[in-house]
Amino acid sequence: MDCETFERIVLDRVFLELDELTMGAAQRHVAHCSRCRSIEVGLRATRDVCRLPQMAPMEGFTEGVVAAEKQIHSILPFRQRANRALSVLAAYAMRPQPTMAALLLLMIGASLFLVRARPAERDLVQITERGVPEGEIEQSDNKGNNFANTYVGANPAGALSSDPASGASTTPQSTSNAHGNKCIAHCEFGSNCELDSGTLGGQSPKADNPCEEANPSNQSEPQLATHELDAARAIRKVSGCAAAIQPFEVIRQKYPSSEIGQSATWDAAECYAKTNRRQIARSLLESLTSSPKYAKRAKSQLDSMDSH
Amino acid sequence: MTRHSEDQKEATDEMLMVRYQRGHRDAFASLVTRHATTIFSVSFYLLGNEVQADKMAQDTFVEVVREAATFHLEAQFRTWVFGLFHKISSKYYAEFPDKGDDTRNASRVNSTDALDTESAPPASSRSFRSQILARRVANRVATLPIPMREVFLYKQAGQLSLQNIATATGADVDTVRHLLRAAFDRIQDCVEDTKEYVRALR
Repeated sequence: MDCETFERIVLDRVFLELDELTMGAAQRHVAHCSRCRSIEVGLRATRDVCRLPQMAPMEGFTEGVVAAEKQIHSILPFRQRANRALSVLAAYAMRPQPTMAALLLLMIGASLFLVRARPAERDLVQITERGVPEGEIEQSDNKGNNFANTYVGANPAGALSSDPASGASTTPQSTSNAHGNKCIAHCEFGSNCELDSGTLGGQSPKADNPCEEANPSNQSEPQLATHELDAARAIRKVSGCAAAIQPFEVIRQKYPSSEIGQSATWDAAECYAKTNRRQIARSLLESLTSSPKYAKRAKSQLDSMDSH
Repeated sequence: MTRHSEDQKEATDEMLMVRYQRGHRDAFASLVTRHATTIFSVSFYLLGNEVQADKMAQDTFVEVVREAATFHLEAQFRTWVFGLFHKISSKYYAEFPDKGDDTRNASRVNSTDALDTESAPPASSRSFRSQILARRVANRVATLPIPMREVFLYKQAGQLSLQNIATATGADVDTVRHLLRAAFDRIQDCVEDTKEYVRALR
């Protein structure tokens, strides 16, 4: 280190602000340079002599400053107030607990908004094989039962349910089931089951065809006849011939000269024959001998009955 | 003493300043208590008037309140405050231009009565000679040009490092060294005949 460099850093050395390396170099320079050493000693002496005593501020200085600070904050502009409030909120937001609480509330709110309500109501709906909601089936069955009661009470021919000659063990329950099924069959075609009670009880002349009564504009007469015949056949299949005779008779009387009427006559004859009411069966078959469709079969059947 | 006040005592200046930024006014009061004496001393030796010095020190702390948002934790609080003090002092120099005029105050050099009796350092346990010496130094400081006086007082009364003085005043370190060296040379002239100086040389 030379004298010029030493003079530049001498104050740093006097105030002990030099790093160790430079301090060592300056020390080595001072050791052999009397001029620089005298400069350093003079500055050190001046530093020690010129220590100015600390002056205490006037009384009430701190209180005055704090009061001024309060006054400044009382008239703080809105922007600075907002910034300060934001700073305080941000300090709280940086903590994990408020963040987790906010996240939890967000999740609860989102679930209330997004998850669909009333899941239980959907659970009640079950679709059967026939494509009808289960609840409606039960409703139809109840109506069918009502109808059955009406039917049994109103029709003297209800004795067929306990006809000893038929050998069928049809109980009132099975009868009601049969009519319930019939009702279902009608419902499948869009008719109202309650109308059947009047029809089969013979109390409403206009309600001979319940489907027509229920929905006259939807179906034409041949279609209705076909549906009624199908329904009667369904009753025969489910509940037996004893229960199906009456619907066949109704159709036969309703469409006497049509092909549907002849089919109903043929089915009724079959049912009468199966229930050992041969005289009625024979008379129905004889009425069919003039039908081009059933003449051959009717004659064959008559011959068979005669041979037995 | 409450735990809170103990925390305030143990906290560094920078921590207190950050607390104040977050709205803790107690922290500001602690900072004022810590630095009032230093700021007031520098003001007093800078202006030579106790009332003006008090006002200037108060203005400095008010400026701390106003500029609190600009303080960063990485900065040194003392340096930052002296930076604000430097800005405030410029306004006072404008109000009292004669204080920085070296030639007009030349007669004060070596005069023990140059400073007002009211604004002179108060009597303490120091010996009478020390008081006389302190007054002589103070009078000599008052005759220095403002930049030189400022740097000298920041170093001797404010206890700032050369680097921090440069930061506070906005000058480079070499300039600060140059100004301080010049101030020391001038003050040395007026104290080298004192016994204290001679004793210090040994």
